[in-house]
Amino acid sequence: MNKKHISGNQDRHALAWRSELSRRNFLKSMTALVATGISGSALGANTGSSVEVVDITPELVERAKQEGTLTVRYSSPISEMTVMTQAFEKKFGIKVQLDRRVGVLGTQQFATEERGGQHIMDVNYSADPAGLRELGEEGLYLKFTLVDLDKKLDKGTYIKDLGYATKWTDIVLSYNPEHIPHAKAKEMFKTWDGLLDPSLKGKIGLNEPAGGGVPYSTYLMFYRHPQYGREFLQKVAAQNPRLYPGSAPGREDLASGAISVFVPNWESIAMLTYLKGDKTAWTYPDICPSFANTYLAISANAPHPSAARLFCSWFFTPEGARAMHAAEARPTLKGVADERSAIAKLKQTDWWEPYPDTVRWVPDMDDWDKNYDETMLDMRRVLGWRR
Amino acid sequence: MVMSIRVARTSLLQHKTVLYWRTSLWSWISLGVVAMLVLAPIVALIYGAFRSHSPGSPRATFTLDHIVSVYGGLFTGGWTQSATLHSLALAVPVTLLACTIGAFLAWAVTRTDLPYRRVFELVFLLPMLYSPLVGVIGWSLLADPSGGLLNILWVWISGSSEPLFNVYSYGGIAWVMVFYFVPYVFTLNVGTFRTMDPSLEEAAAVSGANLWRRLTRITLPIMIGSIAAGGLFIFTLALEQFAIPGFLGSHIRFDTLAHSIYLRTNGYPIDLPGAAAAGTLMIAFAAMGLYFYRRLTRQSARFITVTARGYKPAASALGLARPFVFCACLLIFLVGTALPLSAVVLRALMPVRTGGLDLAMLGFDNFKALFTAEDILLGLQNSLYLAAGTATLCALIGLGLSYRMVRRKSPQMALADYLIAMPIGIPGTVFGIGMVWAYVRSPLYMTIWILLLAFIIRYLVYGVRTIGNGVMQVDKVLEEAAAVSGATPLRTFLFVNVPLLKPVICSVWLLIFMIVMREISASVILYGVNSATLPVLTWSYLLDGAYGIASALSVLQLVIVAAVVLIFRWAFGVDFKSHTAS
Repeated sequence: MNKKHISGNQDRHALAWRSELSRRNFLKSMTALVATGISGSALGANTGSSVEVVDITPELVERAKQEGTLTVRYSSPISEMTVMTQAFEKKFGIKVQLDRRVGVLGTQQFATEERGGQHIMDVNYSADPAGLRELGEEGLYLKFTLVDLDKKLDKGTYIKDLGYATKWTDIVLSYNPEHIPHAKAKEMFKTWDGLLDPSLKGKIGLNEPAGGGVPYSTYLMFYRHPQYGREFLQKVAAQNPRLYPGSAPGREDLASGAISVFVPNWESIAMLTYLKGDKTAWTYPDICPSFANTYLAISANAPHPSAARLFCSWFFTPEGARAMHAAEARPTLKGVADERSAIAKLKQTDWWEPYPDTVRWVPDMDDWDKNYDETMLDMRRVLGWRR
Repeated sequence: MVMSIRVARTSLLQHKTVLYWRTSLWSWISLGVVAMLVLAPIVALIYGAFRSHSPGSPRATFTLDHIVSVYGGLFTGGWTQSATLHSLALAVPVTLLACTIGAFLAWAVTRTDLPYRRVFELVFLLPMLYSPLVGVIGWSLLADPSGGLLNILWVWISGSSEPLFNVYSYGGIAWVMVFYFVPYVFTLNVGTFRTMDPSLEEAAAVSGANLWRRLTRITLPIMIGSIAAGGLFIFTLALEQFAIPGFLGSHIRFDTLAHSIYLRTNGYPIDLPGAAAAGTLMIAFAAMGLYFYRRLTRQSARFITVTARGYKPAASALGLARPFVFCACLLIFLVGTALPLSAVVLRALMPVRTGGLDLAMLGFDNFKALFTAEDILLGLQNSLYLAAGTATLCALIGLGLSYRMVRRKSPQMALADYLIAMPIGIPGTVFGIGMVWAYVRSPLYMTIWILLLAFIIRYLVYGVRTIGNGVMQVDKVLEEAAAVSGATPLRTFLFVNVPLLKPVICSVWLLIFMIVMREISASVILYGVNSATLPVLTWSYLLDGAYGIASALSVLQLVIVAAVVLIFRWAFGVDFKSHTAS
């Protein structure tokens, strides 16, 4: 595979179509609509096999500044993304336009746009690895890698030549201490078997398996770990849990006391809500999934190619990692100390302990990708999710 | 003599021919414009329903799988069967209850001497000013079986261990939906109730008919067309509503067709062609509803309430029933609006959710967060532009089209009528995807203009149908009198019809304005970086778990929309006491 440093001139994609619309343009577009079909062929697709090595060079920074802006489509929490982009804007003076599309729809919409010849998005900050791979094969994403990749990132935190995850997602079990005191929770949830306690019948909240990587990885862990297995999820389902289509309403109900336990939550979000005054707490049973699947990927036809490259590489520098800390996220970049502000506050409590490395269960991403469709449907069946 | 008769006949024939062609030409033009607007996203959807992958994908091939799965599944236990049954089981009672309550409220504030009726008329509209998700937040806070404030209060008062309310149940979902749709019915009917000639009611009163008899024998039979039209909307909207059953139904595994479709557009495995195929099923439901509506309103003469004879609107005296009607209106307001709204305001003041109610925690941090967020002002501006633009254009286009549909009946206009009603039956998310597929190559894509276009296509039916009801109620004799007096058709339209229809036009404007201000399902697909609206931002905050900020944003939206509505009513005299036909 050919590798090259980007230093040559990048194509500048004109954005004339996005300019202020006149009535004439409006009418022209209506006429054009009638004349054009709705099925389209892939336009401008990058089907080549070369892989760029993206490095933050003065030339790249200069070109990015000349472009002045970039559009990032994302599905991660607003607060996290806002802190990240503010740090980037402050550092480089490049305006980041955010376009939030929750779930996998953003990837599909990107595909529709690109196939229709609309080049809008520069960077996709996406937790849809399957979609990334599929559209990468179609040539809609830039093939790129980072300088000294092996020194910067662990395997499993990136999709080769395509997308690079900025943060770890550490799964925890959240509970309401008004229902289960801290000491009891620590004892009860030494293992996940604590969920089968009869006192928790009807008091457990579960995020449904298709609610994203967080719930899927947790149920996958049950399926794959010999101590638990598929039968364990069946037993949890027999506890008559509340099923949530997303994690936000589950966390809300946990805080209200409508449920006593919510599974799965992830630590950075738990920290963010804790900083706002949320009284719920969390603990780490014997094994907890930890994975990185929110990837930065660059559109092959990015209208602001240099700014996109700069954005995607900067978060893998120590300075970029600090921006991740400011968002209470644990960066994937190796060798950086955990400087999250919540940590200092949590250390003052009597119930919190740092995430123990001994409980970390890193899912096999090949297994994840290969068996996703089948296991997902089975998990839903087990939990009685009929959708 | 014979010659002159022949010339006269020929001249008359020529005149008739010219009139016919002129009428026909306008009908064809109207049909053409409507078809161009409506068919683009619908054809895109139908095309998408026959593709194995999203249109444009290199892997997409022709297939019947999705259609077979959707339609065949109805009879073979597929994913559409239980979802469709659930949808119908919700939509039918919700429609009946919402129409009953909404029509009662419209009657009470327009045709009776109910005390504080002008205040009631305003407060009954409040739920239309915020997103349905806000109702969900409010009712979850109040009626969660485990942590709901009403249930905590109930347990505290009664000592019972069992909750009294459960919003996560079939009854709970229906309850929230009924009060969500009551303001729609109220708004759709209030204009036509108001323009009704009271002479028949007065005659009945003089003849000794009591209030109940006047209501059931005179008012209701006259208004049944308008109420039925409202019912049609509520039925299709209840089928299309995904947020309320989606949020409240997930705990009890109660699924509806609209929410199943939504999950196919947004969850894993994403299935846009399958969603499009199911969207065609929703179109079929909407078409059926329209068919029954047209049958019901076939004889438009039955609905004439504004005649050539002058009249002065007069309120029927409620007599002994006055305190009961007042209490009923107050109770409906308190239970359906004030209670959930108070809960939302409370949630906006809470930085985080807690089990009980800790007054010391309450503060304005969520509101402060709104004013520091850069996108709120832009979202507000976009929402106001879109709502005002859509409402104005739909009212104008609706006036022109509905007048032709009622007064110049033709097969073309009948077809246009069907076409206009189609988009309202499609779930907003699916409609949004149809718009994306249809317009992705146009310069409108991801700008505020595609949202405006989508809203016009989607909500034009409100303008056409509601103003059409108003036109039906205006006796043609008035136009004929103007014609005999030498007025041109345009002059008659502008100076006879439009003033008579002003209350209905204003109602339509307000209705569409409020609907667009809270539209989320299509917007969430079609918005771009610079065209996000307030509901899109609210939705984003909700999905993010920022319930407090989302609630604060909803409260802010409510205040702003209420201000716009009040200003509009003041500016255009929508309290028409002195403006109704005379």
